[in-house]
Amino acid sequence: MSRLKGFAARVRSFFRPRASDQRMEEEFAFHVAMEAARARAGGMAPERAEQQALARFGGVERYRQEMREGRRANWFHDLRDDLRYGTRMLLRQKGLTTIAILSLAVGIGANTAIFSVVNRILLQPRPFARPDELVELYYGDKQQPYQTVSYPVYRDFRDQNRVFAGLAAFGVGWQFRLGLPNDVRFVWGEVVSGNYFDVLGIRPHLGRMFLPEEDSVPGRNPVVVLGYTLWMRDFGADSSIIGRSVRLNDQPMTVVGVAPSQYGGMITGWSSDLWVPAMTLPLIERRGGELRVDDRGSKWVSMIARLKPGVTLQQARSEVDVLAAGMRGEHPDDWVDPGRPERERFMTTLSERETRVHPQMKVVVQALAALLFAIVNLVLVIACMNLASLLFARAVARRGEIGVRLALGAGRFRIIRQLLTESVLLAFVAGTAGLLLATWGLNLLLASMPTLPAGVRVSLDIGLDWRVIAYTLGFATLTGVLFGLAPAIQSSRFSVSSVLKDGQLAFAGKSRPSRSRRWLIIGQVAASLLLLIGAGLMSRSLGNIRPTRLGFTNENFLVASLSLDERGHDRASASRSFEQMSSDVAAIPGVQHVSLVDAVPGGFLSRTRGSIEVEGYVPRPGEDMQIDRNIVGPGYFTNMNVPLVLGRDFTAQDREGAPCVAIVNDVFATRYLGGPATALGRNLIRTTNYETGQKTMCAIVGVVHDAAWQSLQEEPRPFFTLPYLQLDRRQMVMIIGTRSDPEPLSASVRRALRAVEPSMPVDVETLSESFGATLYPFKVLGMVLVGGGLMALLLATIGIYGTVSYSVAQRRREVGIRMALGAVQSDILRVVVGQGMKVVAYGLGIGLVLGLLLTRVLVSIPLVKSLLFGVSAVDVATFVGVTLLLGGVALVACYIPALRAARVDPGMTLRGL
Amino acid sequence: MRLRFGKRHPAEPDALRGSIDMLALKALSLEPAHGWGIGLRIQQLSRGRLDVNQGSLYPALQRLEHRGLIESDWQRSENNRRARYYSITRLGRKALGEEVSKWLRFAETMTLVLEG
Repeated sequence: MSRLKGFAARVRSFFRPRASDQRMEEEFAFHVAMEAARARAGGMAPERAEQQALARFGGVERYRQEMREGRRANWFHDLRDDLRYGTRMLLRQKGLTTIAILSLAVGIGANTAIFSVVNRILLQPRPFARPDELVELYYGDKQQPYQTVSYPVYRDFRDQNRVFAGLAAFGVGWQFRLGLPNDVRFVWGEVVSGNYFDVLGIRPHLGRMFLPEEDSVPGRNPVVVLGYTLWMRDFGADSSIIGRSVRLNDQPMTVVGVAPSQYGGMITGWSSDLWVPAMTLPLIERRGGELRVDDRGSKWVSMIARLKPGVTLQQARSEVDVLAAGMRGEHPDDWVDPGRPERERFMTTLSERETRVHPQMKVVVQALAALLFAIVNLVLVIACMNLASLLFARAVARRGEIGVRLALGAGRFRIIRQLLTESVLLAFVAGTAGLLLATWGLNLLLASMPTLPAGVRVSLDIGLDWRVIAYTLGFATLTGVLFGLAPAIQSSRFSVSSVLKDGQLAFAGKSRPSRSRRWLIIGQVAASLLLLIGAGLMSRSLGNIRPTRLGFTNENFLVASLSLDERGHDRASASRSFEQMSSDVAAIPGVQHVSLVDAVPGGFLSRTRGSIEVEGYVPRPGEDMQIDRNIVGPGYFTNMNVPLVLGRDFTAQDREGAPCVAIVNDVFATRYLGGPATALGRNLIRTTNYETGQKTMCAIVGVVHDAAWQSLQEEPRPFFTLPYLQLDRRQMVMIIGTRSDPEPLSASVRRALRAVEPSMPVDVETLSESFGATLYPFKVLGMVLVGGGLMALLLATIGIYGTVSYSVAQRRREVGIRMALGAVQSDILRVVVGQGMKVVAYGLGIGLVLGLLLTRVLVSIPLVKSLLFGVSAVDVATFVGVTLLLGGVALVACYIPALRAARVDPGMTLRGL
Repeated sequence: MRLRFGKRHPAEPDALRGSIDMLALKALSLEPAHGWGIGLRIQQLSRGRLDVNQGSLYPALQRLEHRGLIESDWQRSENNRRARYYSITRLGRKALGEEVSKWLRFAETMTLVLEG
């Protein structure tokens, strides 16, 4: 209790210096007065009494100082002194400071960058009003719990619940054709219920949001809300846009409002161009638009709701489950599949916090973030080890200064604190630099993103919010302590006497780098090797994803996506249109061939699959008969130089009305038909009418060998191909082979396509551009890895060079003696380089073993495996090459200081210089 | 610029510094007093042999107060002036006891060595 009072007194005197000063003066004055009074009482004259009293008091100023010092919170002022001293020392050691700040800034900055993205996507609440009141409802089965429901089911939930202040429906990823004055373009939007913006609490930037009556009768109110970016970009931020009409899929729609700039849709990062009410679907989706709102089988709706005041998440959850049970009774088809109990559906209710990333994607996002963090932190760890090593050496150089301070009475703890302050200061400065670097770098990265196909727009504003700043500074402090602690503790162990003797530590000095420094080198080399292995594998993988490796003979190709309006085309006219466009484009000078396909080949990102039955093949129980499927035009395989093993390619005669045909690859033939030889003439059974269940036999007329694509996969995959002319297609991709550089022909191609279909949005790009867009995330990952690997290489080199230099400097006398005793330059070189490389070899060995283990483990994760194309995880060439690279560089780093050692003049060293 | 690497260098030598604290504490253990009164009492207790620099009492009193060994407040002195009066706490009495035994043991050891 008393101690507490004492502490309180201390705190009081610290925070109120003037009051404490006043008290002190008063007490001093009282004391002197009493003393003077006593002297006067003894008969002394008043003036002399006063003088004597002051003299007996002692130096007033000195005691004033002492009391003031006693009042100060020592730690606070010590810290301030440490900082000042530390700053001076750091400024003096310019070399060390620069290296340290640079390497740390990059490491911490990269860390911050990744954290910023994670923060923006996962940690920041979305721009809704009072987001903690929002929940999302998901419908699904055990295998896939997060699916979408039909609009009627949404309506049932909306009308029957009692826990929600509002329940809204939304569907994402709807593509529309937007008619602008001079252009027709693809845009992406969300189809929502009328109360969507109200439930989310989003106020318009201009105009208004939807009214409830606008979403009540199908097809009655063609209204649309534009996204802010679209409005800025394509409508020139024109404020008179409200009330004007725009054409969406050729349907005139009235613009009622513009969304605010902060809101870009339900998916963070994917900017939505517009919003339409669900009831407009019959107008803009000609085929099946009415079904979308009335058919229980059309499942495209996600649901988000705002809780009524006072309702908890748990209560809402129970209510939803109860309602679902009721619906199960009334419409059992929605909820159960007879005979398949594992497909029973149920509802999941999650808070806004848990749904910032779609729950299905969450694992992927987290895994990706973890991978990136691991890479970046590996580089940072190497940098820290480097710095620790440098600080160890530097501390020995400062032993004079430290020794003097120890002799003057500084405690060990004080020294440690001082040295730690220096490293944390370093880290802090580096952290701030890293923060700026990260923000600038991220924005640069986002700005330089290639335009994605079909007008998909990524917009992520990564700003400095308090979480990012706090994270960076905290992380920097941790880093500073991490690399500074060990050297600081070591340094404080210097014994005073040995230090105050003659400068050189003479024979008392350690002749080899201390164990800790050796282990630091080993650690750096191992970690660098890991990073370089990753970089090497990734580079090789990226190098494989070139069109030429994927079956394209060269890069002279244009790619155009064709999308016909369902309103204006029935099946026959669509086929005619495609054929017309193909022949018109083929007639352009410089075009060698034109083929149609449903997706760009080498589509490693989204291979379409279809379910098919094979005549005479009984699938094993549980076997998935979803097989990779292509839909192509006549002459595709010939044009694309895919070798034909047996039979023929599709021709223009394989069309509607003609016998149904198909082409398979040799893997398919082997797996399902007993080999290519027996495949010809056998049938695939295709369901041509899903409603009636009608099936057609399609004869196999050709077997191809898709060598190029197969070589990139570990196990070759079967696929089958159908001719588009025998199917009902409105969307195809046109691949145009040109004689030479494709770029100049894109304008002509565009014109030709427009001539046939004026209202079709035309998207023509070269093959490399198309690849570039889909490759972008891999490229970024590759850049991170290669950048990290190179940085690691650089840092490890500096570390080795530094350590060997230091050790050589320490051993000058020993070298001098050896030379005097007859050693030659080459002997010295051998010894120094040998010792250095021994340590490096340990590091390489450990790194190799770890690398082999790690890649094995990582590759068992499908996500990671998909990153490697045509490269096995234990690719010998990469491993060997990288090891040689690192070893070679290390050798040079050892050799140079060794050379300096060998040039030492024995006479001078022996004389003690 | 002041050298301030280690502990602060005391105005008094270490040994005496510690002693002043102890003396003040002892003085207060008899009766509460103000600063000047403590100095007087020390003089009396030591039968005139100890005549410390009186100003050095005040840093000592501050130290003792921050450690919770004494507490203080404003009161009226015998000649009706406002003065800060100090009194010992229970913690202070305990500390005093410990310090006294430590000091006596130290003196005993020194005597043993010097006379042995």
